[in-house]
Amino acid sequence: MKRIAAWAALAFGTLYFLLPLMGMTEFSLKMRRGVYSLDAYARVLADPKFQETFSYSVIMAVFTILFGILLVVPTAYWVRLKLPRARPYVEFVTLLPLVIPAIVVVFGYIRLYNTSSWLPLTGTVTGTNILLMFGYATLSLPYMYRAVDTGLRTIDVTTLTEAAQSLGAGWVTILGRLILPNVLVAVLSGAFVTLAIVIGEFTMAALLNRPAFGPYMQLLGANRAYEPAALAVIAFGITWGCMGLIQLVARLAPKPAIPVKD
Amino acid sequence: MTEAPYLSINGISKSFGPMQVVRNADIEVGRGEFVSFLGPSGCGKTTILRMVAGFETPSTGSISIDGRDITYLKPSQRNIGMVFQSYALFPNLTVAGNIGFGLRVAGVNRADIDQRVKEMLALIGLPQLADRFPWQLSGGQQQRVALARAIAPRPSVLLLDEPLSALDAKIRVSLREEIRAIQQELGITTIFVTHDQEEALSMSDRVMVMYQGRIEQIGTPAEIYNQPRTSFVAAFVGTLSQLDATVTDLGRGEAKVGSAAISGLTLPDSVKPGDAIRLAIRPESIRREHRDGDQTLEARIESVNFLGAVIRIKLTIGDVALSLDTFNDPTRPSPVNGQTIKVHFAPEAVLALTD
Repeated sequence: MKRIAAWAALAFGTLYFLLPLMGMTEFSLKMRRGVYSLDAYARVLADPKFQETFSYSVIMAVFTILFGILLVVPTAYWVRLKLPRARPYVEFVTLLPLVIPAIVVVFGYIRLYNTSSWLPLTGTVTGTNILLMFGYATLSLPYMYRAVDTGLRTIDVTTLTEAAQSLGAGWVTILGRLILPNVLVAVLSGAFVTLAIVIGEFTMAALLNRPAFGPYMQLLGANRAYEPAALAVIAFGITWGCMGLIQLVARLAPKPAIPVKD
Repeated sequence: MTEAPYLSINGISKSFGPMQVVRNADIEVGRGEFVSFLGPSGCGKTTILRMVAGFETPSTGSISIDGRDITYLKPSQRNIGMVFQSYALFPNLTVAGNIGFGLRVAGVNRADIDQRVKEMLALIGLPQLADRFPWQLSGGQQQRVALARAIAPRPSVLLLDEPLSALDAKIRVSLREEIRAIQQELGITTIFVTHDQEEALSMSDRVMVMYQGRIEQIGTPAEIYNQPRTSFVAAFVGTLSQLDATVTDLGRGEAKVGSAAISGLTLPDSVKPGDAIRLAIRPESIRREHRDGDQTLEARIESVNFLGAVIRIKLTIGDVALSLDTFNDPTRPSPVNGQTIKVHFAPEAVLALTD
């Protein structure tokens, strides 16, 4: 009886998630009247705006991921190593982007870094891109920090650090050659979540007037019928591809050194 | 230790907040010497080791190696090798990568690293495991690799922080013999922290016994075992029966335990007749056979524990409890609970403790 209930719950859950996706996918294939076709996909992929905005967002995602790694890995490592009592406070700070809306953050940025401020980042394209990257890094902070912190929990950070120090290693060597490789899977899972966030983010990119993928999707959705559905399926594909990569990389990760039986 | 000290720990103390965990410790270790720090958990032995390694800074005092003050140097600047209880092998590196890590950090060229890694693998008897990752090794193999990694950069001092505690009993015994053999082969100055007295006594040139942050005694294993200076050392190292006694005659070295008098004791200079002292005797010093010069007491058998090669008998002499160890001899009748027997011991085997 319990088994049947479990299978029923699973079937309900699967249908609940899959039916809208199937409906959307089917709709995206109906651009040509009477037959299924990939016309909507072809039109989206051929649109220079798609290529431009998608490339921009991917490049922004790469920079955001690099910046996130440089910010989060040393911070999470240092908190674990030297400031374990500060961990709850740091975790609280990293969760703030979940409760502070992106629009508040971006207005704060514009107010602080406008052309008449002491650091006029919005005055140049590069400056605005940097500002947008900071914004993306802020939005992905809760996921990135949690992923790295969980990765650090699987290794004995203190003893590995001491072992490396006794062998003459400095902080850069310890972080670059030991800590980072051992939390690489966690970093990558954080990185893929960051990629998904950056690809879909609308508010910050729109308000900073940058040609990102999020505003393009919004624009297309407001003016076309079939293309937005095709775009949503593509976005889902990218996200699921990222998830698959996380699983794949997790298999290649260094395993903790729990000894086999003597 | 007769030659000039190689590692000097001079009057170091360490406090964590209001708690003082090491109190004014002075230790000198000769070049190539193997010294064990022995004591119960929380006695401060690991804290001293960590101060030598540079992971803790002494509150007072100094540490020097070969005349060079290292008290405030970073751990990475001390050229000290350390082996940890939890092995602490780098999970992302192979065995060869782990062993060569210190050399790579030091900028040694690739060919020399490969050569040294080969030497180390041969030294620890695992030349076939160079390409394995730590998780593919047993605990004993991991600890051997950790040892090789620590000594590969030719450190001036090797620190071993309870390296055998996480291993099972058989591996522990074989590995401690290997560690000692490697240490003697390389002649490397070594400090070994343990709470296992058997390890400390069997491996060390000298043993330092610690209790509550203080050094209780430093001496050779035989000195520590046979001539403990304090009641703590006497009780902590080996099994000891302690008897409350009263000094009766200084000239004859006599003290009374209950109504029984024991003479020929070596009494401390500070005692006088009527003083209370504590006598201590090891189970193996009490015999059932009489020899010339022995003291004899009548005792009642309270319990008999068969330990294989040895039989441990719990005795009472009046109100006082004692232990007696005797070899198992299948041709002799086994002792029986409640039986009254005569036990004998040499007066020199009795330790008189004043604290």
